[in-house]
Amino acid sequence: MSLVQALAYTPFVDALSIHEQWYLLIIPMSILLAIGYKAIRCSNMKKYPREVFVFTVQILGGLLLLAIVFTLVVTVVIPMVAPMPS
Amino acid sequence: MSTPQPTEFNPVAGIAAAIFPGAGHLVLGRHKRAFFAMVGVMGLFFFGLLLGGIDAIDSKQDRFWFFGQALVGPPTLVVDYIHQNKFKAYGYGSEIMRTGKPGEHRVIENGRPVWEPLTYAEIESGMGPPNVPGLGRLNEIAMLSIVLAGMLNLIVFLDALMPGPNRDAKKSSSNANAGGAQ
Repeated sequence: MSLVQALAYTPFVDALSIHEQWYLLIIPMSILLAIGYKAIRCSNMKKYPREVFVFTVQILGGLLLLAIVFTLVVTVVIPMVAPMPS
Repeated sequence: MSTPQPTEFNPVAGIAAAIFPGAGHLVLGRHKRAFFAMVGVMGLFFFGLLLGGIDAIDSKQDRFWFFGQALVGPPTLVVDYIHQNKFKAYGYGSEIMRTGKPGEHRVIENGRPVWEPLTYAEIESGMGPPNVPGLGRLNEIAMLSIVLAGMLNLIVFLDALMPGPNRDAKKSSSNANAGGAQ
């Protein structure tokens, strides 16, 4: 973000320009989702912080696993099934 | 096989939950849960607005996303109303309300908002449309964050409308009884 863009930026009105770091946005979204979901589903509020942490790790771990699977499909499986003509 | 836990229908808590995220649990007396549910839903809502700006909620141009976002309730409707009425205008010779482009300025002509082209000197002086819309993947993530807030609020609303037994209260009362017996 340039200085001119930063000075003209109005929070909640203008869009942020952080296109290079888009994948990091999943972390705050997962934490907020876990905070809201476990507020309802947690059986004992004494265990709430731990359950929020575990659920956040589960979301991030699941997404990381999906990313690995899809990367393998795109880079290994598809070239084996349908090789590009050389 | 365990028998399902009984639930009771609570329309007052349901109405409160529909008005504002977490308000239903406040009516039920579950203050801690109400606070954290509100933090989760409104946190995702404002996070989406922070990323994509006010353009992340648009009932006209992103209609299907808006259906999910509207599950947050009045906050989404208020932001959409402001977006449609304070940030959009008609293009030159057009009957379609749209977001402004760089090099345009929003003016009111005969009570009707229209986009007026700016001169280079005016653009240099910092004039332009009232908001910068989100683009590409970042705009999608912003809209998704608010849709997630809406879906989470649906769960919070259903839990307030048909609450299960208050497990925390049961635990604390059983602990008190056990303490009394000792």
